[in-house]
Amino acid sequence: MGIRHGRATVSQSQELVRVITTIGTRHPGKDSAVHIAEGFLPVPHAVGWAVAAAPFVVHGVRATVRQVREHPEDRVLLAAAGAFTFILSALKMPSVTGSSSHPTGTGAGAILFRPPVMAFLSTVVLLFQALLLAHGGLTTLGANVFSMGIAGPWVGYGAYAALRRLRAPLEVQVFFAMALADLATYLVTSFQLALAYPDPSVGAAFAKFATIFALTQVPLAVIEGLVGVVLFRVLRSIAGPELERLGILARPAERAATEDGVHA
Amino acid sequence: MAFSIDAAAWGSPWRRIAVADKALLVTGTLVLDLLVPAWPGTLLVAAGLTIAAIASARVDWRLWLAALALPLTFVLTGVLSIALQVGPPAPGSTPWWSWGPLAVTAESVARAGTVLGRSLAGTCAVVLLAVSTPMVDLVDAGRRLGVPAPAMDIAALMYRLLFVLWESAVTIRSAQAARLGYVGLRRSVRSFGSLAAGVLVSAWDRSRRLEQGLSGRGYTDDLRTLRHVRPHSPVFLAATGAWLLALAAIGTYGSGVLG
Repeated sequence: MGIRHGRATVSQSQELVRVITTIGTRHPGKDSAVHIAEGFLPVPHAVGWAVAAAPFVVHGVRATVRQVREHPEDRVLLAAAGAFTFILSALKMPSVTGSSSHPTGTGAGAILFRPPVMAFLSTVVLLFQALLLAHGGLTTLGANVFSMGIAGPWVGYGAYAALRRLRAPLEVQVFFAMALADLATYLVTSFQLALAYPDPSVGAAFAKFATIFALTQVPLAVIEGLVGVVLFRVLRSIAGPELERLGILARPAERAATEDGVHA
Repeated sequence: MAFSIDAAAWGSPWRRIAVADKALLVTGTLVLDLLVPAWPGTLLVAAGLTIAAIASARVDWRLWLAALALPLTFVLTGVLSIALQVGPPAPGSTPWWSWGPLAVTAESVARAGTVLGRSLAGTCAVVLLAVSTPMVDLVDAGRRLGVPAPAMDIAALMYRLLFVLWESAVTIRSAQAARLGYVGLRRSVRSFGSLAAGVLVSAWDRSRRLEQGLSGRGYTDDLRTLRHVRPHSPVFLAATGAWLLALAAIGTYGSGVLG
């Protein structure tokens, strides 16, 4: 009996180790994050993208500082949002191509916390990824912030806002926001690589990089969209008040008002 | 693997060296890595930093190799794409292989090799900083560099929340896996979505409780902790200067640009 008990404990701990290693970044050869790795961009490009990203990040920092001054209680909430973005990007997402892949998660962040704040949070997340997970890099930080922290959230938020105006269901808004944020990130990354290595022309090089990355990134974007739909469905059922506070779900009073409006 | 780089940073003998000194070494090496001709410059960077990491910073060589291999997928995909040329090859290039509009030329392979070398050497530099400097030291350095305090405060809080959230993510994920939540794509997507929601809600919940606890203790401006004052190390700075000069000289001369 004692032996069996011992054996069960061993197999449980083995199972735990296996689960931890599968969701950790243990299989580096199979990851397919689209952060431009360190050393990939020549100096003028690295500097250029850093300069291009800087105004957005400075604006994001200012927006964050202002928000924290007005609502000191938001400081911890924003930190939690950033930590959530990091954790989401470090987790492995189910994938159809067999290789595992990481979501960018910026579409969800853009809906929940608005793009300017995401520009700041993504910069910190990318810095953490470079220094805690060796994903991305320091000289390529500007380029990665531009694709993941600026282009992705703004495109995702744009899709969300447009579909919201068209009164599409929340699921549709979220799906397109997440999927398009992901696609925008990967297209901007392909463009950045094409500009750095225009061989023979920027257009041809863009087509080449975009095609090669599309193999993993297009299915990934669709799956990220679907994951987003599940995420917001679950949030609606267990975190309704929080979503109302963030303005994503109409408050009961407003909902009644709009329904009255529709009836009238 | 998840946070082993972080764990190594806390125990690293290089933690005692001032962040500014290490930053000089890493940024100087990164800039030179991009500026000097790739061969033999990047090999020199990779070899020099590996020796420094293992002999002086006492990094476990298995961790060092594992960390260097992390960006491998992106690097290989990117490098192979650079080696592959689309459209008519430029006049004067030496074609090695061609099929329809696709071609591999000696020039494109050389370019791909350059990027491969730079990326390997650059990764060595970033990983060396990562395994010798805990995030709190960097956040503190950022604060002294004049990044607005609330922003750095959020970064510091984020870092501290990572580990708690990661643990809840791992727990939720293993519970889901035990209930066959990751069998098949459809179920996997559903499980992953609710995992994300679970982590987000637990982040909200924790942040609310943390905020209440902190405000009860008078948390109004920022969450400062005692800082270890680390003086500059003349030996380290001299070694860094010598390394950067040698790198610039050998990197340039070795490729025959000066010679």
